Amino acid sequence: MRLTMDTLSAPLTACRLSALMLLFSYAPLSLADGTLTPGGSLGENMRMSLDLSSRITHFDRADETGYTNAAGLDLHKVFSGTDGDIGTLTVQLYWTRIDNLIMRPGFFDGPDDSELVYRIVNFNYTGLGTQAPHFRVGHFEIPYGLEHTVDTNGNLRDYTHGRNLGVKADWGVSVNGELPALEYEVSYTLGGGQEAERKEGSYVWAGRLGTPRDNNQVYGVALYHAELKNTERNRLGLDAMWYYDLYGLFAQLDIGEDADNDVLNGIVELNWRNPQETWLLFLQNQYFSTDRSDGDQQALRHNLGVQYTPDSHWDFSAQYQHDSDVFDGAAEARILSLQARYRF
Amino acid sequence: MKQSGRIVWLFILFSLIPAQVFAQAYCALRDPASHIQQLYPDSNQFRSIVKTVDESARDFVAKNMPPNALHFGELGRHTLYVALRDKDILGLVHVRSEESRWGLVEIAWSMDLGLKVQDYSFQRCRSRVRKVMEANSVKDQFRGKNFAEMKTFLAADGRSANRDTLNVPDNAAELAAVVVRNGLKTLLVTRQVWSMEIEALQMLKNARSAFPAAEQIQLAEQTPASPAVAVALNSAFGNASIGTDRAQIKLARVLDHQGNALGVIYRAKHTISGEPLTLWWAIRTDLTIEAINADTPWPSSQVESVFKQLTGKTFDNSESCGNRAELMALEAIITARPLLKNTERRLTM
Repeated sequence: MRLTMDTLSAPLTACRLSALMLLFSYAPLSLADGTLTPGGSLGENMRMSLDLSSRITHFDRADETGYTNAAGLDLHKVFSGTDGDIGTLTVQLYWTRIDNLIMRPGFFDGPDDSELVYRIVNFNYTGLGTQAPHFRVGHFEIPYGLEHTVDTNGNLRDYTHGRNLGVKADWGVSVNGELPALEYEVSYTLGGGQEAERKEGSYVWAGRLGTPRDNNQVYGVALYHAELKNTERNRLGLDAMWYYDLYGLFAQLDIGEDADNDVLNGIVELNWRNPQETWLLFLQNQYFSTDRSDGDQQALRHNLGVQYTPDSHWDFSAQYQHDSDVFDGAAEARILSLQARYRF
Repeated sequence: MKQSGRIVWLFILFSLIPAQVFAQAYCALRDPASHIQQLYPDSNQFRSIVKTVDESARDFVAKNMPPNALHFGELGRHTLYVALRDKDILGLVHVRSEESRWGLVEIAWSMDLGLKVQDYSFQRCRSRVRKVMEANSVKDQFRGKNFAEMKTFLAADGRSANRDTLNVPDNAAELAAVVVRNGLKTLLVTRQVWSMEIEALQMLKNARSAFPAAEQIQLAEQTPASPAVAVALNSAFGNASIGTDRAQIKLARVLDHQGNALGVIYRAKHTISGEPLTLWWAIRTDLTIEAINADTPWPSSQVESVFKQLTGKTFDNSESCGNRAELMALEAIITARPLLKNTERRLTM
């Protein structure tokens, strides 16, 4: 199967990816005979999990409760030759059902809907060597800010890609790499979000250059330029993560413009883990501001969350979201979310 | 809501199925590429070998270094990386995590194919004394150590660092214990889970060393146990033992890029001058000895000289052999001979 930008129309892609996953799921998963044959069994160098999650979201102001149930496949396969790895395929495809979800991602048609959701679906070609650039094609997170270094897919904990950039993950291509002193990724994507197509001339350029994410101090600088829904967005983003024992302090500052309106956004997160890292507590403050023609607008959102991972199967999390200030005309949200997730 | 109910039932059903999975979503997985570069500055590529670390590995660790055990995050699918410089195998890298009061400490260990530590690099460590453990004066104490040698760094309680054998400052003693436990677990798990692959890599490395045109190898099954070989060995040596452990013999056919046989690699564990010694014999298709290499230093330069003089020679029977090294060469040739006649493909690397 060839994954090209021309052929990635959503329904067709879904069928092809499903076939691909079925193929992988029936391949042997272990190397019981010790075979190290290049181009050996499809199950070689593969990880695969089925991932189920159920989320309850209570909208306090509206006094409504919504439900999100997702069942999906999480697959990671490294293609190797005798003389090195060639590339990595990552497929996270989730059938997602929402019921009475009054605030939801835009790709759902209404508060009650089902969709096949692509979280991450891409192939990263690494065959040129460790110090050479890698080339990614598919659906991936926009390389920008904290989101680029912290995995939030399928979790309640999230950053501001959606509201700040207008898109969290998108179909396209990227050049990326990792060197001892820095890591980088520069991408061009279509701006369709879930759908592999340009919408009204949409496109997204993004790139982040950062110090290694495993360090105790991590710094990144990112640029973003996009045309989405006939609105041009530009951002310069600075992000930092500082770790001190069991605590982490994360920050992100975004300066730019939406059309001709200046924008200044920011995030500060304080988090704590226990020594076994089964518990994660976090407190986020998110700030949004823009100078619209009808006056300066400011919004302030606070997220308090907890995540408990008792073993390699279960993941329980809760989050309370509170808006203390919103743009004119918007309603302040008070949202309590609970989620259980099981991987097997 | 009906569908939601079905999902809940599905949820309950699948939760009853035990399996080894990885708690973290796979999009968060990243190869320790920069650490491989640090550990092997000459490397320009690596190769992943993903296998399952299961309960048997947990039991192996519990048995060999009580009271330590693998925590749930250490089980499941994990990767052993082979650091490469073009076609040259430089060594192995494996990352293990260890619980500590600073959270999980993740260390990338580099090892040679004999599973001796070459170096280590903290992939993640929130301790403020990390720099102390990164000093060469500390790392040098770990370099070149195998499991038994490194285990002397562990105190009698199995958890603390043995300050009599490991010289670290007082303020780094706790992190040093984490590093020692993590290193020992890495060596044990790597040996338990990836032993077959490491054996194949050793074969490939020796094949490429002896035969520059070598592209791939075919690992043989238990050829020494085949009846024809057993008869031939018995005919040559009778019941006499010449100091070779026949149960430990491994063989591989060496092929060039077109699939033509170049020779055979024969690995045998010998007893020479009362000491165990693993030798890698490279035998050409005309049954002459191409090269002999030892895993560890030779017992003496004299012994080394005797074996090196076998290069270019071949032996048909025990009468043509003038010493025990030549008898060992004859045994290697008899054992390897069927593999050069038999072109059946078995296990290719």
